[in-house]
Amino acid sequence: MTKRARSTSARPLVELRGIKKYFPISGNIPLIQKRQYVKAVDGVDLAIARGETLSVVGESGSGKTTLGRVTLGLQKATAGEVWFDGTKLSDRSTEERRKLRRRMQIVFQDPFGSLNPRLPVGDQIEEGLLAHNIGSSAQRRQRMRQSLELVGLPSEYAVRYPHEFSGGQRQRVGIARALALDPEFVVLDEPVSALDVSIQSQVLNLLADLREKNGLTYMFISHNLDVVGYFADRVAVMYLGKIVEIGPVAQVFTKPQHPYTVALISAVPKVAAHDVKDRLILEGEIPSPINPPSGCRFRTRCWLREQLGNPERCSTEEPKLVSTLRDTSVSVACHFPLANGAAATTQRGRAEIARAAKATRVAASKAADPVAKKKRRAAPKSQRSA
Amino acid sequence: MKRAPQGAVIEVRDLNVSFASAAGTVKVVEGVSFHINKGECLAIVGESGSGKSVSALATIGLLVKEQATVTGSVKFRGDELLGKPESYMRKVRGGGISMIFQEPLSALNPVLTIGEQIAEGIVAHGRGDWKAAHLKAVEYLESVEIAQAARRAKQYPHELSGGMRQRAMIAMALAGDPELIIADEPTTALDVTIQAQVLELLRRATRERGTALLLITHDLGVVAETADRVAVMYAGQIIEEGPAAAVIRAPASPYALDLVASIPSYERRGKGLSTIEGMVPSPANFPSGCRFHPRCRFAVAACSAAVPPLEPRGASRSVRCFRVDEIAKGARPTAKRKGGSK
Repeated sequence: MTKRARSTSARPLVELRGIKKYFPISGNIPLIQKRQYVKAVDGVDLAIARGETLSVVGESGSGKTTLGRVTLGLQKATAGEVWFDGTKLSDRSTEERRKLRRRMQIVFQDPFGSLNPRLPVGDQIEEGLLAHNIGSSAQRRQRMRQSLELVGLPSEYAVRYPHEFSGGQRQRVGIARALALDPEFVVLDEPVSALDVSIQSQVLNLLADLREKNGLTYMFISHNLDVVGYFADRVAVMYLGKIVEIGPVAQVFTKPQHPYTVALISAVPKVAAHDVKDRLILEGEIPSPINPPSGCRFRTRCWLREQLGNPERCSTEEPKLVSTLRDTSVSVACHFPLANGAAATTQRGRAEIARAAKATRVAASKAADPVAKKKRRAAPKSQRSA
Repeated sequence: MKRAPQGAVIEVRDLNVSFASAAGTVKVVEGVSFHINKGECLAIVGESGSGKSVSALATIGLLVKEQATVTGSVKFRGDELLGKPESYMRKVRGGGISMIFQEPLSALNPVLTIGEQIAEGIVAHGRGDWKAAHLKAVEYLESVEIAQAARRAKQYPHELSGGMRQRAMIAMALAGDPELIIADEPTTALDVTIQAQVLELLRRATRERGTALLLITHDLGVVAETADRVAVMYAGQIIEEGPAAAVIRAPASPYALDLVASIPSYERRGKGLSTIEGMVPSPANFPSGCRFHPRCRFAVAACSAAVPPLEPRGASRSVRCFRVDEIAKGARPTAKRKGGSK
């Protein structure tokens, strides 16, 4: 605890540099077929400040869970570095890494699959303490009871087996197990996805409480934008193994700049009154991470690219994740980031964007190519068909 | 309950479902009534264990007779379905009523191609021979916007993505040209961008074909966007019913009130989430009186003594709560909620 108070420097607690995680595909014919890989995470850089909650959002197959596991060293990165509190994890010996791991914990999505069905929950919470050789037997029991109470479960429940608990309670046990080691950094992998709404809000409030009380730093992995918008400080939007947009929740949710972020926000069914016709429905599905599209990975589903007249740059050049002049706290990986992404969430706004795009296109082609006159004459027809 | 208008496609009255278990008979669904008109979408929303799926399965006669006792009345086009022999129900299912399940991978047959499975239904209901049925199957796959439908029809379920499988399920449901589609959590297993596509397909089916839709879901956002009316279920009973937009904007029952207030969103940021203490009771020991009273912020002594009836409130809504008028007038929550029971 004293250590935590001391290190108040601007140095991030967790830093990922150029993280890649490729999974080889089995079933290749050796020597004949080139070995293929699922590029689950393909070059991710990010930093999480002490006390911050960074949320990683994305659809299934975007690589968010793999990223969380690589961050904790549960899976070894194919390339790139993980830094924790100023030390590079891969530079450390196995023993030192083990010690560091005490300070970083994980809560899994599935409260049914992540607990041992044949062990009382108290023993499961104590297991971590035992593995790290913390305290005497009596102290460990004491600590285990404390963490159960911390998550709002009576300490008498320690002798019960996982099947005796409801889903929400099991998730509390999972949180108690992570917190027993008094970690500084916790990866929450979809911690409320398997829970009912009324239970979900209980667990979210608990996690927010603990964050406050214990000064925890969270990496919150989720596909649920409602939860992220409510809970996180910053958000990283992933698509096919890459971050497409990262920034403070307040900025990304109100002024999304990447066309994928706009579509993702627009796709969430909302309780508040709004026009369903405004919904931006993406076509197709997330492409295979074995052979991601060239250039920008989102281009095959990008609604903006279409409106811009399918610029070649999108398919030839991979956009870099850079901060825009408009707002330096947000970084976007798009050649044509949206100035007014909020407008793009309505039908009218998108029509406006399309009109502006067309105007610049016509102007550009006029300036660049005198032969374009003919094309311009033909333009009204294509406009009608569009 | 309000009278169902003459044109109701389905009218369910006083549906009760109980299961035989080691601990005795367990009543899972009690006194559920609803109706759906042509082209209308009714959503039944509730948490796990509320009885929403069982109500749907009982409606279509898919509960195993030896295990479940179903009483009440289920009228489809004015025709009583409860107590009809299995052979009759087989004609109704996939003909007049189709069902879409949550998990398409386990609902589809893994050893038949998508095309064969759709064609199977068409042939079984005597709508054509195999050859014609195969062609129709491809048409239906096209109608749910599956690209290269002819090629997809020859593929097996495991070769399709989750979103594509759910589209194939919808194609299969539409192939019977049903008047009612029952969709049980049709988008729960899907990503948001794919969910948006699938919900749009279902909305289009009700709009263009006039199909009635019974949507079972736990997601109030999906309800707000898809359903015309909503029935909120809790512990086997409907606790509130009415137009979807009105119920979600201004819930009247304490349960619906707290349920809506416990949905996180960017807009609620920093304002804190209201929670519902405790958990959904198990059917084996539903509380006495109002089933929500042990968790209710507004519960008083009367709430544990008797079961409140589902009473009409205004022209289009019904609510099951003794204190609904006081709450509407701004009654303060009673101090302790846990201590109130027993």
